Amino acid sequence: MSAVLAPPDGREVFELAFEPQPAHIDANGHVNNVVYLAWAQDLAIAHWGARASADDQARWGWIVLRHEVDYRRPLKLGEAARGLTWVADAPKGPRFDRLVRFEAPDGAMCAQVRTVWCLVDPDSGRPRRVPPEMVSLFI
Amino acid sequence: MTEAATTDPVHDFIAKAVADHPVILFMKGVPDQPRCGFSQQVVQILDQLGVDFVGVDVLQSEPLRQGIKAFSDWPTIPQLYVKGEFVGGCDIVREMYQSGELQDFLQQQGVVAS
Repeated sequence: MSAVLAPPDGREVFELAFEPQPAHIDANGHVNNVVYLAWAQDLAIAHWGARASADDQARWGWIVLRHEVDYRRPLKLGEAARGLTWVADAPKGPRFDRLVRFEAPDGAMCAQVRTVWCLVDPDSGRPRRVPPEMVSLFI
Repeated sequence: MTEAATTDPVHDFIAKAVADHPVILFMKGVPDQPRCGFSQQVVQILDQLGVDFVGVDVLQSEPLRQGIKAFSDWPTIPQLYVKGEFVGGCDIVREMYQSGELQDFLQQQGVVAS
């Protein structure tokens, strides 16, 4: 993954702002790589919470199978990041990929993430196929 | 994290098999003689629903056994594909069957009678 991720035309994009805190800054003087992963998760959870009904949120759970992160522009204290997320074209069985991009105030990509999420039954913890009606919430 | 390169003959074999057969089950053993309980369960469900499907025994080829996991990016076997779409493994198929979702899905795909 090297090209800057961008949502397809018409894809619903969910956005949140992230303000780096002193604890996020590492020995290199910028936001530590691990912080972006937490932000990516925050974005995904917020997107799900904004689009899924309370019933769906109670009925379904998500687990992560994989994260893939690229880092580009360092983000420093005092620079707010713009976080954008959208889903991949279509789920594959229980898997539903999610893309995330963090932008610096100048619009440059700081980090981007492709995450493989897996839909599960929260009671059993077992994977479930992503139903078409759920896909329509995000595409 | 993406599917294997198309220059991989195992990948190409799987892609062609998935494209050629409306319902295909990558399993351990063959439909008449499954060699693991999970594969057996999926075969029983498909048989119960009267689905005409093709079974591919991954135990006949270690590259195939590993290749199907890479192709679908899913770690377990069996794996069910319907009309080119990865549906899931035993847990998913069983849950869909028990909820009635599998029957509806297969009817929508035109692979079982309504």
